[in-house]
Amino acid sequence: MRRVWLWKNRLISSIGIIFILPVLVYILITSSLKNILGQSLSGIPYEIWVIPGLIFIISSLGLFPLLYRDFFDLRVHKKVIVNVALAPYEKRNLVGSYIFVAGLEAMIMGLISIFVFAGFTQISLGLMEIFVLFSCLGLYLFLLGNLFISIALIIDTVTTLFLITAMIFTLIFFGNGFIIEFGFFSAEMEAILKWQPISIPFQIFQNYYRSGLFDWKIFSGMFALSGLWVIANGSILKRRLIH
Amino acid sequence: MEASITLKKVGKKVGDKTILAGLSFGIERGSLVAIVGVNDAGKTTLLKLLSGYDKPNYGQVFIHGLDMNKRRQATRNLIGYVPHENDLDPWLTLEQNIRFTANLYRIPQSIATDRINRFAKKLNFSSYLKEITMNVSHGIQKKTMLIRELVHDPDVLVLDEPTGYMDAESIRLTWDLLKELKGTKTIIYVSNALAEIEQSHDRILVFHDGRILMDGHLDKLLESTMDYHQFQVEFEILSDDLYKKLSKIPTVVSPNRLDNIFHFYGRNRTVFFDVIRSASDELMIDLNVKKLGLRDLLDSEFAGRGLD
Repeated sequence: MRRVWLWKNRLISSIGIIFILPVLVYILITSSLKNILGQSLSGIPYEIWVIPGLIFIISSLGLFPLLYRDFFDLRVHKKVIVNVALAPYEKRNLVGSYIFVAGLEAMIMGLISIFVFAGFTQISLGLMEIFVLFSCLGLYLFLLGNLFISIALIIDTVTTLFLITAMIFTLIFFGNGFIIEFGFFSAEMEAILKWQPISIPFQIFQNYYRSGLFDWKIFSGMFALSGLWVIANGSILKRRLIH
Repeated sequence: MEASITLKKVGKKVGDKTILAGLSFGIERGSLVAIVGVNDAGKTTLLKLLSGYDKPNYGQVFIHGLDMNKRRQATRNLIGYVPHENDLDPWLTLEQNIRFTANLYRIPQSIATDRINRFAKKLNFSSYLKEITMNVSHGIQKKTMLIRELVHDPDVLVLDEPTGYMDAESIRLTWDLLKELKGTKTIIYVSNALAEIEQSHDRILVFHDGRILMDGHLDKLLESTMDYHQFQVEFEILSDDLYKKLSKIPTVVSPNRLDNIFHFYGRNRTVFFDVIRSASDELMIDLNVKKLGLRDLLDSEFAGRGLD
């Protein structure tokens, strides 16, 4: 309801942000890195190869403020979240609902950015590839949303939260394979980065994009992990509300 | 009468400190119960336990016979909790805040609209409903918090300072509404406004150090002190010798002084004349006699001396 209100009352600024963000990300990341990297390791021009990664980045940027406000800002200022927590719902359902709504909004931002990018470059994604991309994006946002909620619930000071968030975004930008392929890292670093949970959904998409094979097992495994993470966050929320 | 809230040996500790110590009591359905006590007595902790916001370390809390710990979802539907501090979303309008809660409890829009309009009219703040929360006064926000809980029609209302931040007119309207709801809803509240409590209660629980010190209607609590009156005599000059002399009168209870005012309690009005007689040579400026109230009772109890 709050989101609807914000959209209604800040329509111009919200639309402005939705269009400015992808333009900014494209100009600052793609236009410079394409001159350095030229093309991907598999020979695709960089500005085409990077588009899916940019969509993931834009959705990540869209997701954070939504969860930050509900689970950190409102919690530390003792607003709304107590009232919500006293409603007859399990905490894990509340956490799941928040991630779902925030994830949906972040995915819409990602979808709009595709149209924006189409104005800059050629997008070589078919309908099925876009469907798989958004399936993987949904899974990714579910995992990332859980990560944001965990830190927003555990940390009580805004300075520490922003420092940790900056570290997470550094990882998102450079350690997830969104704009720099894992092959550019040393073998040891590549092995570590490839196995960190929030990088896996994008790898599932890239694997499908390259070979046409969708790894259901890993996708389902990561989906189960995000479900367990929701339960864990529900438990943390319950404890944090009491203290 | 059937119990609405029952506590069985409920205890709450924070670290090593005992906040509530083995509390056991019941509250009848439809009654209006006030909790009073000094700061840090455990009043707000008790409200948090009753609202489901916190859990006891030991003991059980029952709402309408349902164990709050075992039947959490069912009991939460029965309770409306208004905390002391404003916890509304500052960026939403007052009405949106209320409707958000109505949605949480799956109240149909038409019913929610009807309730919002009805209660807003009673509290005389219909014109504020479309205002953004952060732009209105704390008193208006407090009224909104009350309606936000009433919109899902709970059987039990748990209120922390229900008239906090409100002006005189709002206080009157809020109590009118709460007294109207009494009977159909059990209302338990914490307040430091003793004059309001004296006017609005079926029962008062006096809390001290996590225990119930006194429990009952004000008349019952004052029963043992029914004959007592509170007296004040203002002298032109109340010397130390005069104060000592008056304090030693056997019928004078709990003597005290404030500048030239001699303040004391007495079992009957004849004590007053004993004092007047003893100070007949002194110039008296003002005299005052009144029956004891809740404040006198609390003052004497918390001072640990009582009146008898």
